[in-house]
Amino acid sequence: MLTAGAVILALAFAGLYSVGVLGLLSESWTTAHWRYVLFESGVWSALGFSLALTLVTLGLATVAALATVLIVDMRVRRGPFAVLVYAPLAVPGIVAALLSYQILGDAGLLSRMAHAVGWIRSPAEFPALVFDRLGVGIILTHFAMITPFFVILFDRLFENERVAELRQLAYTLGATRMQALSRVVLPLLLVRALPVCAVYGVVLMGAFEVPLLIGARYPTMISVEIYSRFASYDLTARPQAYAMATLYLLLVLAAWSVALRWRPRPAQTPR
Amino acid sequence: MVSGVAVASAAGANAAVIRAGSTSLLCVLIAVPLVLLLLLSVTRHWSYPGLWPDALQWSQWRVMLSGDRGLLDALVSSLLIAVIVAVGATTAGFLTSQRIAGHRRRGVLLMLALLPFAISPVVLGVTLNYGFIRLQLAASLWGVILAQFLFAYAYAVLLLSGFWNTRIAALSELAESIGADRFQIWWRVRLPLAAGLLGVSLFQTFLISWFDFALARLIGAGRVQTLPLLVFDYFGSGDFRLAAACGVLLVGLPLAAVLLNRRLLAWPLTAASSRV
Amino acid sequence: MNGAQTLDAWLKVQAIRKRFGARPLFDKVSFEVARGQTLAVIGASGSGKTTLLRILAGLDRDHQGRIFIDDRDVTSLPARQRQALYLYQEPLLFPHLNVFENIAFGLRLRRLPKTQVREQVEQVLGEIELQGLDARKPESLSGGQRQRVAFGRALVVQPALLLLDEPFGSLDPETRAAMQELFGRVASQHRITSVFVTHDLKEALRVGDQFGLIADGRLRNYIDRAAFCADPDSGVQRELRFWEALRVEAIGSGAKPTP
Repeated sequence: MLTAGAVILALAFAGLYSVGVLGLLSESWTTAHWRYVLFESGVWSALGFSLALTLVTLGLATVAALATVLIVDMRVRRGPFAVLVYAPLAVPGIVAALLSYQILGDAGLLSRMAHAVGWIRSPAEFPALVFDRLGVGIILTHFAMITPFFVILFDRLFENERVAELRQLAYTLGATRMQALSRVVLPLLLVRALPVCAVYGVVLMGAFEVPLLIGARYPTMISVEIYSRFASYDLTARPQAYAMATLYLLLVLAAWSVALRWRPRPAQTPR
Repeated sequence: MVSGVAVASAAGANAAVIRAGSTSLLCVLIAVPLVLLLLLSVTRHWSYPGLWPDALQWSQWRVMLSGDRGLLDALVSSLLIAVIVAVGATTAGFLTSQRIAGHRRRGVLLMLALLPFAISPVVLGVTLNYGFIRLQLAASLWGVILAQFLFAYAYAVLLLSGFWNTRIAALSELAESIGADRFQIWWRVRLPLAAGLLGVSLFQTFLISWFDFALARLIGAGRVQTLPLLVFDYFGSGDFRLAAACGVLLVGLPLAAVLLNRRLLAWPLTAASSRV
Repeated sequence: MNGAQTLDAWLKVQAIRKRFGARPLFDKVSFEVARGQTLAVIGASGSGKTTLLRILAGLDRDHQGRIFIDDRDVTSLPARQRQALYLYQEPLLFPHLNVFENIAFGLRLRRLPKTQVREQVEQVLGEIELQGLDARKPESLSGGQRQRVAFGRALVVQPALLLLDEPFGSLDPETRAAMQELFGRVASQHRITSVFVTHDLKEALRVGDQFGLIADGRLRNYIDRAAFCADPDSGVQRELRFWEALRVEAIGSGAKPTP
């Protein structure tokens, strides 16, 4: 009786899923699709690109957020910054991409500002920050989207884990500012934030709207790769999209089951 | 000693200046894009290299909302879909998270329930697409609602599972001991205590649907129009004014809600610091 | 001999057996408690005191044996039909309700009219000496006050059986003594039958009318207080020897007692 509810919901989901998978299997039963996808389609470079962008973005966001929390005094809870920092969380990927295009584009705000101070004379001279092969625009956009969240996260952790007090304690034990930072503050905050960072990593891997709007044709992130094959007029590309999606699914499942083993088991104690 | 104090207070003053300066800079960095979005929605021409639009026409808003640009329709669609998804996902998530919490294999079940959330929405959309075609849900409002529901439901389970701790179990038992039946335990103990978290869940699942682009596009297949899809269409056709207008509508609602009650986004943040 | 036979036994427990996995926790625990009396049960940690109370309350139905309250077989009844109220170690108050509503909880469940609820709650507030605090929220109360509210909440529904699981364990000695006195007074006034579990000997002796000792999966019943004190396993003798040795040492060293 107890498990019935969960099982029914899980089954419903699995049911829809497997119908989709059956569809995938029947369409891509010919190994030709799979062979193509695995060896010729460039799916691995898309995955690699996605991974690289994700790691760079996460790294930058973590550093920036930590620096912000340690420098800016968020304890002034009603100050403008403490409120404004929540604003970017209300902006979705599609709007962020639009704004990035308007700010980072060659005729965008930054370009106009550069022109105003005399650094460039025409839009063509402005460096390509969007539609570029390194994904700089994508990185900057995602960075702008998730850093505010990390700032709030680290600030909360700072409060709840009483980091200020522990830092003070370290000082009384003789630590220098650098030592207190590297041995007490950073380890505490980073370890506690890890699960949330991991979740964001997963979300960033599958990022879609931003690379779709301001990414280059090549290389591209995995979600865009899958989508462009799915939506292409060339109908033979569709099974490839299915195959790629399945591949991604399997990879996530594999990573998921590894993470499962890492999870601390909830203790069951008799009373 | 005196010079020591003077140095200390000078350092303190320096730190205060740095603090104030960085804070202001960050505030500007956040405000500029938002203001830009608003400006873009009423700008017809903005010739290079001007730092300000040539002309602002606020009257454009009345025209845009009058109906023939699709903004109003998309707004209504988005709202309807998001409300249904939010209520459905939160309810289902609440019940499921309770079942999972009491289960022996809750670690595994939780990981399973989170699966839709872990794969990218595009992958979810692509894998569900074939099944939906078979079930004749593709290119329909309900297909989009169901797909978004699956995604939001997984998220809600994760969010609400934090509610079912030993304290709630003890309070439920206590109520039972005093004489409450199952309905009364839900009505008088669990729901009142979960109210805050349920509100957060409703808001966040609403946002998942409100902001969704991939699933609406993949499953909706052009038949369903939502605000994010409109932003994309107008962006593609180069009509940045209308794209920005849709953006303003998209962002406006959550922005207002969050600035009024920051706790609506509290959940993932508090979970990190109270991880059981 | 197992089981003190009292004439008007309100609570009758027969041959309770409980396993935890492969390990047996209890084996044939039987006892009886007369109406309006308090059975004080002593036992070390891990001896199963809490489990026993939960079994009596109906919160744990996975056991063998039978339980009778007022000659009704309640073994198969769920917790909410037994009228056996279990009081936790930590005073567990509903955080979303104030003191008044916490106490009134059981009455509201029974859908009693508002005036009656008010009357009964006010009366109980007086007995637990918390008048004037009815609008306060649990978080603003001290440990002792919270335990009083938990008490009041139990009192107001007039349970057939009260099960107390080291209820004063988290309080300081003075508050503890005050609570023991309050409990004793109220319990006898309202003729409440209770099973009071504790590991504190003094407390057991203060609140108990009947006595029991849980050890090795069994409950040892005592005919009276003297029997309890006489049993070397109850720990009373050990305590007495300790204080006696201290007294002798004090006399021997010629220390003068300060006035």
